Amino acid sequence: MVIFLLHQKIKDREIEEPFNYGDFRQVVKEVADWSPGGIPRSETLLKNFLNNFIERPADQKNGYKLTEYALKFIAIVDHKLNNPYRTFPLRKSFEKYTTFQATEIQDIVELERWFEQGFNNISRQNIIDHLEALKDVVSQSVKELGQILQQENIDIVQIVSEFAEIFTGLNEKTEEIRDTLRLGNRLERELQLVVDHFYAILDTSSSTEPKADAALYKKVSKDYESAQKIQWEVNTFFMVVGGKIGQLREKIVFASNKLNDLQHNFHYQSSYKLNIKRMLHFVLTESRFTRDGPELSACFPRKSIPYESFKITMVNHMEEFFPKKVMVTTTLIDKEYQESENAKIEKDIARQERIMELVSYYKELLALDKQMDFTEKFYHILEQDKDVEIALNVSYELLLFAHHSKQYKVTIDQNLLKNSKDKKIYSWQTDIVKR
Amino acid sequence: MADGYSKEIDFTFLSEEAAQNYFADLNIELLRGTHIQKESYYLFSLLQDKERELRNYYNSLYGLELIRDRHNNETFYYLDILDGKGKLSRQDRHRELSPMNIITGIMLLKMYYDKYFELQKIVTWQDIEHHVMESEYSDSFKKVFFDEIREFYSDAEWENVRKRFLKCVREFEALGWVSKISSSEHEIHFVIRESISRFAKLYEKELQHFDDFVVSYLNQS
Repeated sequence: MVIFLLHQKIKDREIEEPFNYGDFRQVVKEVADWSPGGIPRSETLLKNFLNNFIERPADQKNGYKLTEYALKFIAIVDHKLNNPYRTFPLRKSFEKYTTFQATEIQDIVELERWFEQGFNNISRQNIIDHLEALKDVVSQSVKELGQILQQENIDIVQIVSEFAEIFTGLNEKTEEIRDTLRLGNRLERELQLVVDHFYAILDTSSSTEPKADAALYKKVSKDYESAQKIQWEVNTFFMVVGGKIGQLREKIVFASNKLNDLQHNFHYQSSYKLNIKRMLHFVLTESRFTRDGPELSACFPRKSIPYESFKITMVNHMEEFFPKKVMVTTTLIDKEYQESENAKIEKDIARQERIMELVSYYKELLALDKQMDFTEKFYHILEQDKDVEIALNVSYELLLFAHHSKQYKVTIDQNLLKNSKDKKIYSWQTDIVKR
Repeated sequence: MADGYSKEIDFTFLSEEAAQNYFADLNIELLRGTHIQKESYYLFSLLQDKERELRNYYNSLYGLELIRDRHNNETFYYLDILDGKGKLSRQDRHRELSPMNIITGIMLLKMYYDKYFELQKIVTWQDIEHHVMESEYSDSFKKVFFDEIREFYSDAEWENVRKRFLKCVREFEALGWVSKISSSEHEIHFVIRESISRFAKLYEKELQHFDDFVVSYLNQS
């Protein structure tokens, strides 16, 4: 409502666009005056509307305007409420757009022109719009009938006259629907004649021996196919229209039958309906609120209904009801594997001990001699222990020690290989020297 | 026989193809309290074709009455509990309508007649909200569902009320009194079916002699 009123006020030049926050707050207040409840918070409302319905113009920080989306939304609702077809008889729409004489069509171009320009572009949408408007009118009339019935203390003569007024309108609509369906049928018949006309041309062309002109045959064949396609499209459209009209007709007929039923037992119906209302009020006043839902006094009559429940309770994992058995399995010892693993472990331990022993020994030696030909020691360990792992680990430990020590320095001559050309492992000439 | 039941008990119809195919489903639905209307095509057809045999079957074996009722030109079938409730007399084989069922039932009955001229009596959550907030009994509705009369209620308060109605609509759907339109489990959007008149029939005495009922109820309580 706020958006609609803003739009109306802008249109009537009561407020300018872009409008300011004061205009917005005033509109919210006016809308709140019409509807029950208090005045909603304008800031919250504006925040909700921003982006989708209201936007800030780029050049004005304190101004607001309606978005394109809001304008489209207003246009759609306006069309629905003030559909021009509501007052224009459906029959006339049909007469206007379905007037079609088969004899007038001689050429496929004429048929295609009627279909594309007359039918497809104009009639189709107009008829659909018209049906939508008619649907609203019928639904509204049916609702109004119900509302008349709901009124209490209304004079019977007045009820009858109000019913009669609405039913006159509904009867006119029924008549229109009948005529419209007749016009639709006529159009379908005329189209069939046109299709037959093109088939006859094709038939004549194919029976001529020898075929005079292959290109001509191809053309008439294509014309026939086009005519068939148009006929199919029109028939499909009318099937949809027929379905929609059928629904409307059903609603009108139902309402009309209900009125006939009502004529016979109006007094009984109205007193029964009144009692339903009184009963609803009575039940509500006798009920009381609880957190688990409404409660009624035990004296209130409770009615029983059959309620035998049928269900299978599926238990998916039966074994979970019982503790799982834990089985202890004694495995046999694989002696051969055990010995080989033990040998590996012992070898590893012995290697670690040897590495530690050699590292300590060479550190002491370095302390005594002040310098050491490290490459020579490396090859010596390699030859002595026959284990490259030991030689590499001792070297690594010693180099690390010398590198981090302030007393020693490591010198490496990358070009000179001393006594290593005949070895399996090559090494640069590396010395550790006291600073 | 005058009461419509045959003296001879003949269950040979159960060996016929239609019964072989659909009797089990029909039996379960009826014993659950469902009202069968023409939308349940196969079950309804079986009831129409074998109405006499099925009436005998339920009467002799269960002590229940198979009722064919008609309202607004629509026929529906259901099992009625005779005096003593027959084989359904055990506590877990029948149930009493809850206060929520009674309030909703009467409200839907009123809506059904309010939509007297409408071909399909469609109800949405907005209709129920309207009854609670805007109808002439709005204050009573508010007192029963919110415990106090206010102009606004929080979303959480509304959600509680909506859930109560949703549960009740599901119960009525199982009884066949309404059929859901929305495919969503949580949406309230349904059609009131003609079989809602069974609810009216359950409270027929109270509705037809409302003033007497109120006097006798107030004397009791």
